[in-house]
Amino acid sequence: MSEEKANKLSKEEKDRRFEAELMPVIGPLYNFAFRLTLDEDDANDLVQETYLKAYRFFDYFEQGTNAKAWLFRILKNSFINDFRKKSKQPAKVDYNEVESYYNTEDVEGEGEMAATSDMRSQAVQELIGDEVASALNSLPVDFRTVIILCDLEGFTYEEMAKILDIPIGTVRSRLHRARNFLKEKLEKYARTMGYDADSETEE
Amino acid sequence: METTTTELKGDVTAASDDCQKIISILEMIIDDEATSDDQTYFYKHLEECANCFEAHRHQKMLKDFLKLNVKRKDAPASLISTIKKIVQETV
Repeated sequence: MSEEKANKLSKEEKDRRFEAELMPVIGPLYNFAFRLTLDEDDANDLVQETYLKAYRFFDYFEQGTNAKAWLFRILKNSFINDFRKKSKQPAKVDYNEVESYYNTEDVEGEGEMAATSDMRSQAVQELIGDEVASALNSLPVDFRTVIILCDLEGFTYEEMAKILDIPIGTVRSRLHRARNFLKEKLEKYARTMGYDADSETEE
Repeated sequence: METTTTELKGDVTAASDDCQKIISILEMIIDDEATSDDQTYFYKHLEECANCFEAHRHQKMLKDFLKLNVKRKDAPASLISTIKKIVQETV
C-alpha cells in the first residue's frame, strides 16, 4: 500500500511532468494523426484521445524514455481499435490484396524519379508540396504509416516495430513496398508536370 | 524468373551476387540501419558498379525528396489548450 503510494506523483507534479515531457510531441503527433485519418476533425479527436490515454497511464511511463515513440504507439492503437471503425473515410483497400499485388513487382525495378536540379528550387518545391502529399495520401494506410514514421519522423526500425507491433522484417518489407509504390506515383507526377529529366515520349 | 527481368533491363552486372546483396541492404543503408561492415562493403561496391551507384542515388533521392516536400500539418492552438484544460480537470 505505502509502496504504491510512493510511486504516485502529486497531481501538480504529474501535470507539470506531463506537459514538459509529452506536450512537445504534439506537432509530429498531430501530423501523424492527420496523415492517418486525412481529416482535421478526426485528427483532433485522435490526438486528444491519445493524450487522455497517456495521462491515464502516465504513472507507467518512465521518465526520460522515448516519449515520442510511446505517444505514437498509443495513437496508432487508438486509430486501429476505436477509430478506424467510425472513420468517415471511404472503404479501405484490403491490405493483403495490395501487399500481394505489389509483392509481385520486380523489387529491383527502381523507379526512375525525375531527378533534376529544378526539384530543388524553392518555387518548384512549393508547387509540388501538395502533389507529394496527395501521392502519399493515396497509399494504403499501412504503407503511408511506415513512410511517415521512417522518412518524416526518423524513427528507427526497432522503434517502428514497437509502435506498430510488427517484427522488424515486416517493417522493412512494408517500407520497401511503400517506397516502390511512391516511386511509381511520383514518377508519373514528375512526368505530368514536365520535370522528367529525360522526357521520353514513350507511352 | 528474376533473370528474365534482368535481361530485359539489359544490365548483366545486376545479376551478380554482389549486386543482389547490395540491393538487399540498400534501404538499410539509406535508413542508417546497416552495420558498419555492411556500410564498408556497400560503399566499396558502389565505387566499381555504376548500376548500384545509380540505384543508391535514386533511393536516397526519394527519401530526401519526401522529407523535403511532404508538408507538415500543424496542430491547431485550440487543440493544445483543450488538452491542457482537460488534463488539469482530470482527477
